[in-house]
Amino acid sequence: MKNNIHLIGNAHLDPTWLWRWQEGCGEVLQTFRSAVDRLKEYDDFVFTCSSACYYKWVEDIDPELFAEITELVKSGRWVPVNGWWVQPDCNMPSAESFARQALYSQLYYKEKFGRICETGYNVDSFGHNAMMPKFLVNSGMRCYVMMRPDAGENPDMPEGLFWWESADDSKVLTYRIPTGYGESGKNAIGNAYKKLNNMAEESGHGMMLFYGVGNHGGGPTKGDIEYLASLKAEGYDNIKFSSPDEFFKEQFSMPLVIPVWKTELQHHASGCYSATSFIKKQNRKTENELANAEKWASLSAALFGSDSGREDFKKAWLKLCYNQFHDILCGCSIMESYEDSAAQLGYAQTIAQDKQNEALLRIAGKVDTWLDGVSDAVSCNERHHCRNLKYPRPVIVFNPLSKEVETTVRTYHPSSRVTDFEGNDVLFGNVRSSRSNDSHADTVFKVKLPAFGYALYWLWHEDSNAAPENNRSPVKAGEDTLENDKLIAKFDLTTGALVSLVTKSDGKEHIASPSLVPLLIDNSKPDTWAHGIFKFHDVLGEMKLDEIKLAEKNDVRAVMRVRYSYGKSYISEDYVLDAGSEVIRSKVRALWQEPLTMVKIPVTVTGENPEATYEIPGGFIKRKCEGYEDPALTWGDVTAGGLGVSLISDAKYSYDCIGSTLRLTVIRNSIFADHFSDRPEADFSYCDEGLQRFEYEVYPHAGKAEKSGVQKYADMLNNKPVAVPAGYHKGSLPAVKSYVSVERENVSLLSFKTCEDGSGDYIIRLQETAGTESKTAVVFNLINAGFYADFEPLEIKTFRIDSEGVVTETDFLEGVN
Amino acid sequence: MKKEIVLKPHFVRKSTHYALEDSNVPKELYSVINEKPELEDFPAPLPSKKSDYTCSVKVGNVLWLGAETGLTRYDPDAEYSFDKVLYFSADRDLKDNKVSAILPDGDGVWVKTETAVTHIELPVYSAKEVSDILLAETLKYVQRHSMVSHKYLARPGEHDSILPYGSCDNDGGFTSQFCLAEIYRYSVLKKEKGADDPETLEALKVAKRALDASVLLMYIHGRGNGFVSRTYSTADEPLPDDGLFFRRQGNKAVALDTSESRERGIVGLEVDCSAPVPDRLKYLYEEDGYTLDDIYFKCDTSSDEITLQVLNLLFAHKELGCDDPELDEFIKVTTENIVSHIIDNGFTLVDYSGEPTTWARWDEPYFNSEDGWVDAALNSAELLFYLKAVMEITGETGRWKETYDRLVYERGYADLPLEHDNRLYQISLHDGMDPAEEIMYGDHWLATASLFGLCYLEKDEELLGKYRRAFGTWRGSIEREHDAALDFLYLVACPGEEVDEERVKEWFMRANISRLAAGVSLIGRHDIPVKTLRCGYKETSTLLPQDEKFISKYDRNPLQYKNVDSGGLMCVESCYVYTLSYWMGRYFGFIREGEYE
Repeated sequence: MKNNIHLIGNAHLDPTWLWRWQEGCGEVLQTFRSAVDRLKEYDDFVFTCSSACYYKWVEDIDPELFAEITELVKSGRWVPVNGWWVQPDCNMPSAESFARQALYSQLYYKEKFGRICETGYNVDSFGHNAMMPKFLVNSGMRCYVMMRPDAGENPDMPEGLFWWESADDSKVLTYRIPTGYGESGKNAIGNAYKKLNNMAEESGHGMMLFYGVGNHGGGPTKGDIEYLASLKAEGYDNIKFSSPDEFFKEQFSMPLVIPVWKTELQHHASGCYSATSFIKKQNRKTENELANAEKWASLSAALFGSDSGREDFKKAWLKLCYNQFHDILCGCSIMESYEDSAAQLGYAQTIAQDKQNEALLRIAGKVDTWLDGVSDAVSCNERHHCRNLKYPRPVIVFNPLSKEVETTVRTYHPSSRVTDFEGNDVLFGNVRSSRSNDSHADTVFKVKLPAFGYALYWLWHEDSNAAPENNRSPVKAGEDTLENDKLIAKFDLTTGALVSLVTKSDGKEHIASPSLVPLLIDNSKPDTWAHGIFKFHDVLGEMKLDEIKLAEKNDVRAVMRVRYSYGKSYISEDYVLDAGSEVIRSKVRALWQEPLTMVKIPVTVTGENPEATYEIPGGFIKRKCEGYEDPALTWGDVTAGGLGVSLISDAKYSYDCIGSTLRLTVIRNSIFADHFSDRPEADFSYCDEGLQRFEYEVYPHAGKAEKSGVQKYADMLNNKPVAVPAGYHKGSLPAVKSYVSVERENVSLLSFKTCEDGSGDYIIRLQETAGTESKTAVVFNLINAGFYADFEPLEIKTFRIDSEGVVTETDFLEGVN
Repeated sequence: MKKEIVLKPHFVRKSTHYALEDSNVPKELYSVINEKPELEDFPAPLPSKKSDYTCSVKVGNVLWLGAETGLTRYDPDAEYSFDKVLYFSADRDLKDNKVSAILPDGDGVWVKTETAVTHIELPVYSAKEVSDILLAETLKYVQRHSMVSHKYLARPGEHDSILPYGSCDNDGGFTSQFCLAEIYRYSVLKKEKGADDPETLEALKVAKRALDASVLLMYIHGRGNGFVSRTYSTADEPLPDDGLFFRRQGNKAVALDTSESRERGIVGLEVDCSAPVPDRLKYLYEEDGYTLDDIYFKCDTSSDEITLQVLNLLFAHKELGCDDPELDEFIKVTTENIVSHIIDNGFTLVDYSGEPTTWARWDEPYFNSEDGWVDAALNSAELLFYLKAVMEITGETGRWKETYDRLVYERGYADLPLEHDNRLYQISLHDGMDPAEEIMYGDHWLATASLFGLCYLEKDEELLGKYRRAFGTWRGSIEREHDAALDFLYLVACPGEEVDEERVKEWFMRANISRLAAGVSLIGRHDIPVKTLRCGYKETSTLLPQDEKFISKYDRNPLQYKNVDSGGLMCVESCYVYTLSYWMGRYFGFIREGEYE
């Protein structure tokens, strides 16, 4: 029948929310037991459940129950959906995180149940980025169920069935739940049935009715099942116990004429992208550390036959996947749960750091750094310095990106000279360190690094006689000015504001009005989610300037230090301009103690007809400059009249854009898990209380944001080179080396890892970032491979390379399924 | 594209093969010592596995690399990125892939392989010169009764072994595309060189003959009702076991014995064929000594024929008819007959049986059937295009407009084209296939022709917007091809859109100088990832330049991971794939010739 109402028995489970994960785990066990019992009692009943994490918990803790479930899955009574580890937030995880959600989960389902999930299912996630169809299709799922935002929050979106397309032309048949995901009781189910039945008759296609009590409720009750069975017996012959898989199969077997939706699905909980800065920063940090460490470990494995750490990385990624659960990453769980997150993400980061260190030191140890005479006897003075002052110290700098980069790196020692591997002087400066011992200084020096590879630099000890021969620094600074070969930035000494930002290549001014002064917003009305509130415009005022001074000026960079205060809180920012850089980087230290406030960093551009652009998972999106609080990944941008400014960050996810002013939200200090509450008096803890450090960058550019190179700067800020001080040794590796390079700037290397089937094959994942159809060469000098690939705008492609260098294109599942 | 692309003269590949001991081969080749190349850290992907390279020679900065799996040329200073690495392989470039010695010779090389010696040259030609050379090849070898599709060879790779027969399917469509190229050529040359220039006159002559050949298919069956045959052959050509054929016998035509006619139980069936062939078309068979009784024609015509013929008639009217009222009148009558037939028969093409043919249906019952539901998006656009075209060609509205308006405003035909991508995708879900496995590549030209035609002719902004959006729903799959002609028509129809300029240049500059099928080596290429789709179909992850992939007509998946030309090794294909792109690009002002350096 065309208008069947499919009854989807389910239990919505939040494994962490108003409880910690241990309780959530117990809840899963109890619910699964209950569901199995109901399946045994009622022959027609079908149970649907998402999230591989839950199945893994049950497998580990109650294997007998898992065996029962396995049989029920095979018989089609129990239907796993959503081939992801949890129902994650769908706005903040990176593209690579979405890939890992799918990879580990679908392969788990395949191993345990002999099949992968066909239907994506994130019924509670608070919004869905515009590239979700791409992620779903790459995960082996071409149908999708979601619910938020609802019709009241976004009346433009289709209800029921629609085609959802992402910019790379990926498409999923999507069902937006028009009722609720857990109806229970005769009245609720009856009302839902009436509504859905009307919709089915009007649309000419079927609908799904989701029933069953979620969190701690045990799923579909006997009463619900029996009530539905009685309806069927009474002649409601268009209802059927079913699953999302069966529902979709029925729909695409009939002619469908349904709407097409081509952008994101927002807004529901607009405060979730700024609440609890801790989890946001840890998510970003863990994503980057894992991806980079895995690249280096895989490189080490290829070079030396060492263990790539695949199993360890899997454990680490799964901890990250878990903490991307929507109530965790969105910052709206209870305070105590973030202690669990700190431990779990700390575990993941520890694996990443261990593996990366092993790999980099292994590689560094093979680079030829030997200098004749370096092992000769040294004087007492030199012994005091722990080294021979006549010889420079080798430092090998590793670049995790697939692009050549020029940037600065820091080592924790002062120097008198720095050269590259060919003996050319490079710009450097001895800068105040974070410590206070007898040297007080670190070395910051300019590097030019090959794509995914390394370069050797030589640093002379500060007490040696070495001195640079011909360094010409482009860096200039005055009491209110920073300047290099690319930019001139001017600050207002009375407010600390950036009042001018000129690109020297074209002489254009990019700033229309004073910018970057932290702005306080009243956050007392919204709950933690900000339910029903989509704009944050109640300005309390700008922060007061305490101090502005030129803190540093040397050959390689200049630093303007600005300190603001408000109440008991302060924000200190070091604006850094490096030689040759097209961005100003702000290193922020914020001690925040103001309840129910929010802080935004604004920038206002010149020009008419502003256009806001943001990085989202796996791409970018254009949004209207109407002041809505919106999620984004590493950068947001406002461009007007052909000139734009991007704000790039290493820890933040929330912006708004009002006309020509883009504002990065850096603090949102709500009560933990304040859910439609009337806030009975208590000694509340606040989710952004205390000290936080993060960095953001200001990038002025001409032309469209997505084609301006902003992604490269964002990648550089979030994936900094690693400087490894090395010893003196002979070695088989040269002084500079690239292992993987991608010809086109707009195609990024997301992942380089070993295949999950243990074959030893390598996996490379690439992403087009500028929205431009592209053909690119990929040079993979590691194992005798190099290849060409075409990319649709924003397309993501995964390649598998065997030991002979033969390349096949696959998807997130690596061809293992 | 916002600016005209300049196509500079560019090298083409020319291979001349010799026996191993041929005296024309330089003796130095047999004694040359080529070094095994050091390829670690090589800065570009290489077509052969690095360890397979056994010999190399450097000429200036250009490096020639010989492998057991073909020959590679690397030019780090190439002006275009697509020219940095070239791959030469058997059978088209080499006799076999096992390269053992390389001797430089100017910009080219002598190459010794296991079974032969090949002299590879890289002569430089302008895009127009390439077009002219390909046209000459087609006129000499490919034409069959002035229809242009492909012809068979007795021996692979040898023009001289051409057989007098060839393709027998959709000849009208292929000939129309050839004709359209010549119409554009005529128009461009007339403007640039004048109407009396010999080259202009030659183009006109070729265009008119091709037009006549395609139009003859509307009369050759003798039914006189606007039906169009797929093709026809003469009695001395072999009868292909591919479809339904009727042999003319006076005023009757008899169904010939083929699998299809046996299946339908019509072998020997007689149908009327008494309607006359217009005098102006008879020369097409009479000049070769044939009469109507020598002819057998093919039925069960698809919409492909009609769509491509109507596009051709539209520009024939515009560019040829303006100088030749008699021809223009003939074009008008022809178009009227075709479209009248479709309208009079409930928006179908009716075959000998009085029933619609299998694939020429534009009617709602078909659109609502299981088979027709997906086709509705394309076929609705086709029918609307025919109606707009006949209005344009005849200068009349009447029943054409009345039908058009009814279909658009009452029957929703203008909305159906917007459904293409959704329906194709839904079918792929239903069939458990990748959407790419559902693509009919022949439909790309039909959709482009129809939607281009609609956008070109429609003045109503609302409808124009719909047609442009509908065109957009096709681009995802059409762009897989990067066929320059498809891109140009899209840009004319949708002026705000863009296509990749580099890909257009590559398409022209990396073309073949001959359409002689010879095969290339693709399987085993080390620089081309292969992707296996859900139902097992294999594709390459990148579109190869034309001179490194198979030769085919417009209706093949250009990403297919196969190393055989679509017609097999025993044929030579028509030039129109190149000439239509070239002259269309010139006609609409997207490309122009650059100067020799």
